[in-house]
Amino acid sequence: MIYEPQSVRRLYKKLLALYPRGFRERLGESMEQTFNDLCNERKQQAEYRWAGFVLWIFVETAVGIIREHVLLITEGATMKSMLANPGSAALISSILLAVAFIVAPLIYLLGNLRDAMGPFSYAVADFLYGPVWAASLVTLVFALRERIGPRAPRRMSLALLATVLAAGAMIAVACIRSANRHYHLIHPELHLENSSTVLIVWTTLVAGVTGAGWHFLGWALVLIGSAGWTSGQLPRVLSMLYLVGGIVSLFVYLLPAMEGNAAMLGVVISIWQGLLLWKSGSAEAQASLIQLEPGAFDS
Amino acid sequence: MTNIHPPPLTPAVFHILLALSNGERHGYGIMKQVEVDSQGKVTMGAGTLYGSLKRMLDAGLVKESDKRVDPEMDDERRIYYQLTGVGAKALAAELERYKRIVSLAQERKLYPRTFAYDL
Repeated sequence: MIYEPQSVRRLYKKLLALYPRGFRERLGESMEQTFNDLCNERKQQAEYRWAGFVLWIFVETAVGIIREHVLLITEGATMKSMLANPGSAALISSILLAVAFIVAPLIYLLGNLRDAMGPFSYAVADFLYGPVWAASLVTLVFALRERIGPRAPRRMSLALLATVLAAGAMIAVACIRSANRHYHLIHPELHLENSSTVLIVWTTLVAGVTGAGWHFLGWALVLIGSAGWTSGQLPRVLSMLYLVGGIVSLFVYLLPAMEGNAAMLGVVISIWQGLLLWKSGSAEAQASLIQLEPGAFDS
Repeated sequence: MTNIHPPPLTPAVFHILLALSNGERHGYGIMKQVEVDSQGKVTMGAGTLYGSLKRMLDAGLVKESDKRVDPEMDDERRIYYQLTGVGAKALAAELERYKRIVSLAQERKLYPRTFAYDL
């Protein structure tokens, strides 16, 4: 029952968990104590409006939570923390990349623009296979370059460059698809779907730029696989997967039927790599905490 | 170089500094003192109080004192906050600013009769 003080206190504790971690660790306990004090004060009053008090304090705290998150973002602390611990960023990126690799092609294959939700689902697919795919890939390779870059600087720099080119190509494909769909939808009277010229130009353009994206991705994967193999920083099997996935991706433009295989290899590689980076990032963070500890009591 | 005219404080920060001016207090104590100082016109919620406290701690206006039990309350140990030298100077500068505004209002004969409430 929400009006029981104990339930409300538990709920408030859960609400406090939504504060940014630094804030919560520093002031969370004090906030909880203050909330308990306020509850006790209300209980002692002969006549109090419990519901109004609870609503006010929950809303006020929720606004505070939003404000702290906004401040954290605007002050760049989120970005700093991501750069300080690229492991978690890499893990999130790898999951997003895997989702994009699986979900977007399924929508393209099974979707129907004439359905009520058709245009929306295609827009989601474009977003996943364009900006999300591109940002996740660049983040993942960037984090990887931080890890194995010192052992193979030229190859990892080239891999990052190829990744950026692949990301640009996939964003371009998403933009072309989206613009084409939009034009079809706002001009039904032109019956563009029946125009072979439009169909040929559009398909060629999309297939061509997609092929270029896969090709650059192929170079990136080959370079990473090679750097991982010679530096010994990646498991041999993962390095092999990078090399095989890279070679398949390089030739998607010649054999478009291989796109599915390249995507499946991409899913396996990204998840495996994300987990490795996350684990090594956590281990490093733990090590830095242990190193800091002796000095923590210095006056 | 010292800033002769520091920027005005937000109302929340001003009231917290004022509440801590006559002794250190824990969070709930600050809330209660703000209510007393403002004659019940300012009620500060936990979100505003602790959000402001965090920024004040970062800016060095207040600092955490030891963690101890409040004899007037329960047996829970609480963190107390106290004003720093910087905080005291910021409060003094703000009070000086208010004083100048009141003087200006008196010079222009705005005080106390021409506010909207009296129209």
